[in-house]
Amino acid sequence: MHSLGSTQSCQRNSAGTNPYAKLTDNVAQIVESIRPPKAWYIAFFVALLLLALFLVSAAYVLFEGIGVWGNGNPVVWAFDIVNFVFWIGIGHAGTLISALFYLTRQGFRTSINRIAEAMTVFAVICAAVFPGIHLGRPWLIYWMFPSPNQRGLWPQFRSPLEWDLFAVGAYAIVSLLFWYMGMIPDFATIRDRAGVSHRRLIYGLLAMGWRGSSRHWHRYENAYLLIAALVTPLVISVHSIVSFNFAVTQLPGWHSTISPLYFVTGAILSGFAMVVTLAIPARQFFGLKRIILVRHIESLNEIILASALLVTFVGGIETFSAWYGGNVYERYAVVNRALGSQAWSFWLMLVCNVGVPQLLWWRRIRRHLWIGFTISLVVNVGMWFERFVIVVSSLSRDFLPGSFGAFTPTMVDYALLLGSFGLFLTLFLLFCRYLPMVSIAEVKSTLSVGPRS
Amino acid sequence: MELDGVATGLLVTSVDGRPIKIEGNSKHPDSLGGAGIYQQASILDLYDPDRSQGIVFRQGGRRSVTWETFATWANKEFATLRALRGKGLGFLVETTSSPTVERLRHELIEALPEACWVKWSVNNRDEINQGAYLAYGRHVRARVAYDRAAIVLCLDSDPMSPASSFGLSGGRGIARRREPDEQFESSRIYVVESSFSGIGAIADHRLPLRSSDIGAFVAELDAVLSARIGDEQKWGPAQPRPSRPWLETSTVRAFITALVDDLLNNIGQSVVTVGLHQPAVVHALAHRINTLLGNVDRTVNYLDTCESADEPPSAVRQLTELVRDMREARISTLFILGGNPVLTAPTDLAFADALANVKQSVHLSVHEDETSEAVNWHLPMAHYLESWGDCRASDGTVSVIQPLILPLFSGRTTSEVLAFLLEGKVSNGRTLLRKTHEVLTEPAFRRAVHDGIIEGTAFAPVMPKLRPFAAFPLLDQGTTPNTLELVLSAVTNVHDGRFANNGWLLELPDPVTKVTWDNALRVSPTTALTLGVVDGERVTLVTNWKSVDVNVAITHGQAENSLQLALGWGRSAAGGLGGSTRNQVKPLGSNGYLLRSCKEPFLLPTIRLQTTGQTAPLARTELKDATVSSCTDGSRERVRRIVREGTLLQYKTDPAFVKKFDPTLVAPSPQATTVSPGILRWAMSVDLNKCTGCNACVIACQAENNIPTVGKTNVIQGREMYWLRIDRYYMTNHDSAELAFQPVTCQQCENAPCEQVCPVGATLHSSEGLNDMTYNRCIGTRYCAINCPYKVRQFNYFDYDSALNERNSLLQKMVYNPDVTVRSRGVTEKCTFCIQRIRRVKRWVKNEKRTLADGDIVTACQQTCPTGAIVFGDLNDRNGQVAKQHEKLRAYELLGELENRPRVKYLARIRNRNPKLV
Repeated sequence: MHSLGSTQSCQRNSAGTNPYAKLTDNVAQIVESIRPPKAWYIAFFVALLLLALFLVSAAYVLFEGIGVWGNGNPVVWAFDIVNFVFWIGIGHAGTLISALFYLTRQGFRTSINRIAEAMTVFAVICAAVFPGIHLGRPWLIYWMFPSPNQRGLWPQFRSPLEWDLFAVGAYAIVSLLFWYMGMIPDFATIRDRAGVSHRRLIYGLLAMGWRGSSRHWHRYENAYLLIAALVTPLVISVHSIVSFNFAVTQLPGWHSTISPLYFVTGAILSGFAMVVTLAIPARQFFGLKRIILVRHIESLNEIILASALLVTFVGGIETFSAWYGGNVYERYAVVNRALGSQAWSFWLMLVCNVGVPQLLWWRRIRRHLWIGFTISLVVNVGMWFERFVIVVSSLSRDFLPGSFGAFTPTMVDYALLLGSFGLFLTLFLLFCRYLPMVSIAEVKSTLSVGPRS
Repeated sequence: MELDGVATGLLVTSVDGRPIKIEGNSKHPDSLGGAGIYQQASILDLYDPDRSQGIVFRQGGRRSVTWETFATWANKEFATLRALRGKGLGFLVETTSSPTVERLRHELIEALPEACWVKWSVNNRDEINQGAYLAYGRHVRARVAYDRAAIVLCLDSDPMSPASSFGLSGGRGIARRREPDEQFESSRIYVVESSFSGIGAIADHRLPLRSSDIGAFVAELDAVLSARIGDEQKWGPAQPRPSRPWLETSTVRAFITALVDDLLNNIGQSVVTVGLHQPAVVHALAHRINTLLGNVDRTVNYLDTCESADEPPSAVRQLTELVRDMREARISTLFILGGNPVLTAPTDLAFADALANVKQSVHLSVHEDETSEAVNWHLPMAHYLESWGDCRASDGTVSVIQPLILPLFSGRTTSEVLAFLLEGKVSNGRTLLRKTHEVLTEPAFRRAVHDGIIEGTAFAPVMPKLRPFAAFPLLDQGTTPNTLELVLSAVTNVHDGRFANNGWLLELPDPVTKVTWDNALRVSPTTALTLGVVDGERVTLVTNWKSVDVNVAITHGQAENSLQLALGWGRSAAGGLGGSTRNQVKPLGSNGYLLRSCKEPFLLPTIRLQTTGQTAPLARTELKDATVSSCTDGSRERVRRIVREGTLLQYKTDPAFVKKFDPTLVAPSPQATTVSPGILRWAMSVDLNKCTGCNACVIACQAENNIPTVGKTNVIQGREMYWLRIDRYYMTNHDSAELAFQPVTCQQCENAPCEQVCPVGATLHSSEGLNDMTYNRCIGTRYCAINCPYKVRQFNYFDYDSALNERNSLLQKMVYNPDVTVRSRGVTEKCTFCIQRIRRVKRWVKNEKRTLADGDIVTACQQTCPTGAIVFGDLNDRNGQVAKQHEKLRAYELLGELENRPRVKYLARIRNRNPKLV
């Protein structure tokens, strides 16, 4: 055990050899311990700094106007939308793991699904910020909502942005519900272990009167299954609709029927990479090594490899059809990505998303935690650049060479990008500290002890 | 408005007593309804907060005083001077053709015979006048009837530029011969020039040549022509053929042969013009060639400018003499009326030093500029929109200036100051003007004020006789071919520097380099390679006495070893935008004036260039090379499809040739051509054959539609707000590039991609087919801008007009057109086809109880276009102009394959190639 804090508390609260009790201890003590590990403090401090950067720069943007970014004409969308798509994409793995793998009865999901779901919720929060602040007049964002009003105004439903609003909105609500509902039995466990303290009150409220009766469990299982079934199509639909923002326009490089596939596969790739990025340190520092097994990480890495291959394939098809379609604009859009002024981002993307994941063919690398961690970071850098390539390269060179342009990010662009990680990390670290990081109830269902085995 | 002594007649819209928009006066011979960038933008100068706002007295320190103080001083001073018969008194007056100023000059010289009077302007006609004198032995002015010329040869000259003798009318004339649709006929334009001009862009054949080599070129042309048709008895001997290696190259040889054949086949129907910068002998030779070709009295008419028959005065020589007198303290009181000689006088005169020697000096100017800072008394000059006055058109027609507003800052005109000095009391400008034209009856005078011109005042035509003249030794001296030359130009955006604080003109992209907020040095790609300089690099231009740092803009089509720099930049006392040492504002651009000398005012045959190793991004509105159609990435095919071109021969054999550029993979769709009378369908057509890229429409649009300027940093980020931009394409690249200009505005698509994607429905289709933009509804997603394939939707990244909400910006706010919303931060905007003009005319028509007629509604861009390239109207009116234009076989839709159904159609360019040169 590397993390001292958790080791000590583990010993203190150890309840014999009963694996169920041990598991409960293992997870609940993170929430119950007075002092989280030192690494948490360091991470939280950094996250808070970044969050402050985020808040300050967001306020600056709101106050001054988005002119403080590097966006211009024709690159009217840049980091704002790149970040949005990136964060929405991150969320995907959470839903995929918790819902799709639940439905397909993949046992290994139980160890990481809570982390993945939390990641989804936080990523959606990060994502939602960007379309909000990127508006020219953000204070009028409510005009996009179909709220009954006396002005006789109504949103324009032919706009993909409107679809996007509903897609992301539905996704955010359902993901939050799913996440919260899954935590209810665990909240109750923490409540019951708490004795008389403020913890009892807070987690008691969160547990919503859960008593663990068989009727509760019955309802719970049914509801969980239903929401899982509901949220599974969302995995496909959200990013498809996000991709419609691009595919429905006539911009060369965007206007393509394969976009939904490209976006969804890309989202899965980035999402799983992010799960690995989060799960490995969480496992390391909070003493979850016996719950999140190396085998689980290996499975995640296998999915990363598979989705990287898918992304490569879809990207290849896109390139092929640009050539085969014979449209000069489309063809140029592809050539420009690879050879134009922003070509470095294209090649960086290829290295990160196509090249580096190939290492995962080797079992040793798949099982090596820190190499896996590094690869997951690289993949996400690549995925960010994939969106950058799509958004910026395509916008900078469209139809008329006379209106071609270029994009150079400003400090505020970088600050918001970095800062959004601050927002994400702050939320995630708070989650690690105060909420059950692993689904105690569900992991128990997969333990190979007792009569169940 | 008068520039360099030539008037352009204007009509100005005034609202609530404030002039807001300038248009050309169709009755005026030099406007014919059009207006150029200077005229359009001059309205902004009227409301320039940095304008001189009062009288300043400088002695030791700077002190604001009143006209009374000045009057006391001036009356005392003049009493003394009168006693001395004007000895020691000098006037340095900006070149003007004003009859009133001329009358006052006479009166002044009568009263003070010893006083000296010197006229000065940068774009003086010294060489032109000298040339005419050399050729004809008298003072005549040539006026070309371009609409009668089948072959036009321009030697470093741009008949469309305001520096030519023709004002804006030259462009009209040329354009009239560029309508190949009915007869399949067109004039053929040959251009030999060092740097791209408007005419160079529309030329059929263009030969990039160093300006210093033009002399040899014209001598060669003269020799070849004389050998064929010259009558030595009658016209004198031809020039000896100059020996130049470049003359023997196949390109030049073929060019000359083809040109000579064309000229000889069109006797009496051709014209040869020479630019302002060329030496007098080149002008003289052009006169000779025009005479040989029988053009005189047909395409070239001569006007008697009523000046003495003696050799015409040279402005440079006069100024030199004045400076000598100043230096030798023979001038004790100097009145500088208009102009900015401290900046513009040739550097080797050291005008500022000489001025320091003058005891009492007075400067009248609109801005407190470099000269104002070097004199004792600075007087605010009235803007022309605030003054009564008169001046002559290029054909001599007297034009009357009437004020639209009282002087905002108690400014006075040159004639008012002169009259005050003469009479010791303030005279009304109208009284002075009336007195000059006292032969006119009051109704006739009123009519002249109404029309803007006095009929029948044009110079009388003359038929001068060519003097046989000997060979000019100068022409054969020449320079070695590889020396680097520098050409200075005072006809770019800021003119001679007078517009150096005019935001509209500073941000206006140079037509060719597309650089804004700077006067970058034009260098050809080959020369840049030889010199080892890159685009955006800062280099030092070194002459024998001065050096200046400039930024390099690599420009295709620039002659090899020829550099071009715009004058009037790098100002130290222009104002808050152009640069002001007094207010710690860094100068914009580089001051090319430092390099000028009396002998070489515009054309420096040898110059050295040193690199500094620094580079900085140029604020371009177009990428440098993206529009070069030779890349391997399919842009050649693309540009050919966007800017369609064909030769006249091609057009004749296949009138529908433009359709060939349509992509083949697009399924044809039924076009909505149903005509529904009673329903309006606004549409526009742009004739690429006529567009010279002069930018007048861009400024007209800016003035009409309250379009903000955004500044250099924002231009670099691509945030210029123009609703109408002119795309520049190099049809071929490198030094022998051919240019095409394409004005792009909102195409008002019938099937508009922008409308579909707005989540709040802020842009909608009107019943007349316009894409209306509802600013109030816009939340700023910019999605419409993304889906617009023409990229004509502009987004307000900041609140660009916010500075004008402050209390002290009442002045600047006066320029706003009250009929157009001022947009705030965060909304998207675009061309509306001047919806406010449409509504206004509809109201008029309704009040007049009639129906709309074709041509009733004129958009701002269409109104000002000096060549009439833009036509606007109702497409449902089958007899209307725009419908006819749309039906022409060379009409095409820009990116029509996207099925947006644009309401703007472009008319393909038809180059009238000489078959021998293809």
